[in-house]
Amino acid sequence: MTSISTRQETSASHTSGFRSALGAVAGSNAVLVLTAFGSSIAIGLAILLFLGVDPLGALSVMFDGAFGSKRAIADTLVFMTPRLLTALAALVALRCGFFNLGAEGQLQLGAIGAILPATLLPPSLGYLLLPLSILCGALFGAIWGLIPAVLKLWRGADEIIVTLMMNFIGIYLVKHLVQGPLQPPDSDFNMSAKIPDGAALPILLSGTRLHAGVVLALVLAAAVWFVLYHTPYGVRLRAVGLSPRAARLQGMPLARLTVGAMLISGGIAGIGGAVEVLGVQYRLIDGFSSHFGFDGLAIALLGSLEPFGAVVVAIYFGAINSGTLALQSTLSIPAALAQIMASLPIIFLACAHGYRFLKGRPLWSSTR
Amino acid sequence: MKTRPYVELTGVSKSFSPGHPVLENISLAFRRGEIHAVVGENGAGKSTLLNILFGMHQPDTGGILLEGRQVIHKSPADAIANRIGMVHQHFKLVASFTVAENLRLCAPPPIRKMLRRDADIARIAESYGLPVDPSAVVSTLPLSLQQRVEILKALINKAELILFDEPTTILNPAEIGSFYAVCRQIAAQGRAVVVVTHHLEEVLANATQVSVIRRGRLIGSTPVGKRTRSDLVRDIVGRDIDLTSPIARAAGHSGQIELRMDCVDVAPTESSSGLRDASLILHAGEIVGVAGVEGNGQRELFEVLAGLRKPNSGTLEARMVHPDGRVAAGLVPEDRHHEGLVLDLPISLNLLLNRFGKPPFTRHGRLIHSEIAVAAEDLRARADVRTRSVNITPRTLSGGNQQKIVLARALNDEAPVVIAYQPTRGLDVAASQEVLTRLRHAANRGKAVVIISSNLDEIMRISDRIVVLFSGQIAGDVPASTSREVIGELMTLGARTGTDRP
Repeated sequence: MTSISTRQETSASHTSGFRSALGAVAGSNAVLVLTAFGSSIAIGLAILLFLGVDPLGALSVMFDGAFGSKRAIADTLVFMTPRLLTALAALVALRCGFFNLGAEGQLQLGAIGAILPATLLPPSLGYLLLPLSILCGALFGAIWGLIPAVLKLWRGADEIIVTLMMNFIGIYLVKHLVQGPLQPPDSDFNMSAKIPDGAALPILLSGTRLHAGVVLALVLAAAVWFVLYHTPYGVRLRAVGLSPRAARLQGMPLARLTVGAMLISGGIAGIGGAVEVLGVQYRLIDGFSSHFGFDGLAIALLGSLEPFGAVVVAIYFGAINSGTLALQSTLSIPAALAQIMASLPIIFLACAHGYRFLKGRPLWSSTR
Repeated sequence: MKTRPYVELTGVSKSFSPGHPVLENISLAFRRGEIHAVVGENGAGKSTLLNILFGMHQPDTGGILLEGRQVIHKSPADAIANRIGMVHQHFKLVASFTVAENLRLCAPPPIRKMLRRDADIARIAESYGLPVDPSAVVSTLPLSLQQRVEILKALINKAELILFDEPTTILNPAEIGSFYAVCRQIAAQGRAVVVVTHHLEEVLANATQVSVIRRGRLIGSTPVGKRTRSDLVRDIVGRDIDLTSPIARAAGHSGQIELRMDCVDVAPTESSSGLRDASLILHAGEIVGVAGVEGNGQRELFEVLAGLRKPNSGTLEARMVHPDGRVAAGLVPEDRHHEGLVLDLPISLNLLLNRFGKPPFTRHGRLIHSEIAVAAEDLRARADVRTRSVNITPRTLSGGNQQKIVLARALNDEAPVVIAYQPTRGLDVAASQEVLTRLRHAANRGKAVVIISSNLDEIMRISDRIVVLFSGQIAGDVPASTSREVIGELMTLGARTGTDRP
C-alpha cells in the first residue's frame, strides 16, 4: 500500500533524466527526503539516549564508522553495492509496470550461478574465471526473473505472489547446496569451498575491502539511466509501465518488453549475488544476504525510481550499515539499531507521500 | 422576485494559483422547482463552481447563502447536511456492493434504520419514481441505472438541491430522455436541480434556467425560453461559431480503396453486442461516420480496425500495414487519458509516440533529444496545443488541449487511414469544432477517415457516408444527405432500407 502511493506520487515528477533528477533534488522533494532521513537519525539517537549512551558521542562514532577513514568509506561502499544492484533490479521492473518483489531470490540464484563456474571449472583458467562467473550469475538471476514474467503473460499468474514465493525457493536452494553438493567433504560448515584467486573481484584499494564490484554497480546504475532516458527501448519500457493501453495502441510489444525488463531486472539482481560471492565472501554461504533484495525495493522507491536517486539512498543504507557496526564494536550497542534507522525514513516518506497524495487529489473530486 | 432561492452564491471568487482566478465574482441563485443548466467551455470554471457548492473547495471571497442564511461548507459532509447532493461524472459507488448496500453505506444512522430491508429500499425508490432492484450488484448494472442509484443516494439523504456534473456524456439518446424526465420530476417535487453540461440541445429542450460561464466570469443567467442555440454559443465562446452547416469538403473525393473489412464477427459480451457479419470499405479522401447507440459494437469495431483484437471470423485488408500485420492508421482512441496519452511522459514524447524510434529521432539506438524537441515544438505550434513547454507532462492540460495532442499525432502519421472513436467526447463546442475541422482537412488532403461516434449531429455534419451500427450489424450504409429521421430509425430499429447494401 505505502509503496504504491509512493510510486504514483513520484512517477509524475521523473520525466527527463539526470537534469530532472537534479531538479527534483533541489526542489521540495529533496527537502522532504532530507527531513525524513534527518529525523530518522534523530530518532535513532533518541533511542541511544534512552539506552543511556551519549548521543553526540555515538553520532561521531557512527559517522567515523561510515566516512571517517579510507577504510570506513570503503566499507560503506561495499555495503552499498549489493543493495544498489537489487535497487536497480527493482527499478527497471517497476518502471515497466512489473512488480518484481523477487530481487532477493534472483540475488540468491546469481550467487549460485557465480559459485558454480568459480569452483567447478579448473583454477588454471585464471582470470577468465571472473567474467565467466559474473556472467553465469547474471544468467541465473535473469532466468529466475524470466519465470514470473512468463507465468504472468502465459497464465496470468500474479507476479507479486510468484516473485515473493520464488525468493524462498532461492534461499533454500542455497541452503541445500551448501549443506550437500557444494559442501567440501572435509568441512562441517554450511558453506562452499573458497573460490580460486582468479575468480575473485580484485581489491581496488589495498588494506580495505573495496572491490571492483563497487565500480561495476555504479557503472550499471549509469547504464540503466542511459537506457531509460536515452534509448527508444527505455521510452517504450517506461510507456508500457505508465500506460499499457496507450503503449499497446501505438504498437509497442507489451509481452516482449515485459520479458526484456524482467531479464534485465533478474540479471542485475543476479550480478548483485555474484558480486557478494566474488568480492566479499569468496564462497557461497547460507544466509549471506541480509535482506538485500527487500532493501533494494525500498531503496528504489525512496530514490523516486531514479537510478541517480537509488545511488544516493543506497549509500545511506551502506553508511547506516557500517556506522552501526562501528557503534556495536566500540559502544556495544546492538546492530538492530541499523534496521530501525534504515527503515524509519521509509515510514516517514510513505506518510509524507500519502499526505500529499490525499492533498493533491482529494477523495471527493468531480474532475478527477 | 419569485420565491427566495434555495441556494445563492454571492460574489464567489476562487483561484488556485495567485493571479489566475478560476472564478471571478460569481453570483448565482438556484431556486426550487427549476432545472438550472450551467454551461461553458472546458476550463471555464463550471466544475470548480460545483465543487465549491459541494464543499470540496472553499471560495477565496464571497459565500453561500442557504435560504438566505450564510453557510460554510468545509467538506462534502457539511454540504450533505445542508441537503445538497451531488452526482459526479465518475460515479462514487462501490462496484462490488449491491444497490441496497451502497445506499445504506451513504445514509446517516437515523435514515439507515429505514433501509434495513431490501423491500423498504424498493418502496422508497418507487416513491421517488426511480425503481431499481436493491439486490443487484452495482457493477452488473448499466451506467444509466448506476446513475439512478447515485440520484437515490442524494434523495435518501434528503437533498433539496442536486448537482449533476456532465450527467449525459455516458448515456445514449433514449437514456438521456429518461434522465431529464427524472430531473423534471425531481424539480416538480419542489427540489432544485443543477446540471453542468456541454450539450446545448439538452439545455434548450429540458432546462428552465441557463447560466453561462466564460473564463471564470458569469456572462448571464436567464430563463431558457428566450435563448437560442447560436446566442448561447456566442455567450460561451465569445464569438460566433457555425455549428449546424456541414464542414467544407473538397470536391471529388473517393480515391482508391484504403481499407476493406469483410464479414467480421466478434463475440458479444454483457455490455456489448459484439460484431456480426460487419463489412466496411474505406476510400482515400472520404470520411465515413459510424453512427449508432453506444454498445452496438462500436468498441469492437474500433479494436478490430486498430489491430487490438483479432475478429473471430472475417478478414481485414489495408493498402498499408505495419510489419506485425496491424493496419497502418493514425488512432484517436475513446479514452484519451488511458489510451490516447501516456500522461506521465512529456508532451514532446506523446506527440511523437508513433515515431520516436525511427530516424531522425533515433540514430544508432540513441534518442536524439534535440530532433525530438524541434519536431515536437513544430507539431505543437501547428496543432495549437496551448502549453508553456513541450517538456512538461500533458496531465495538467485541459481536455481540449490533450485531444489536440492525440489528434496531431494521429494526423502526423504517414498512415493513409485515420480511425477516430468519440473524438469530441467531453470537449466544449469550440474544441469540438476544431477537432472536426482538422479531421475534415485531413480527408480533404487524401486521408481515409473513420469516425465512430454516438453523437449523430456531428456525424451528419462531417461525414461523406454514414454507416449505422445496430446490434453488431451494419444496419445501413447511406449518404450523408439522408434525413435525420431515417438514420435515427436505423439506429434504434436496425430496419434495412432500400439504399442498403445487398
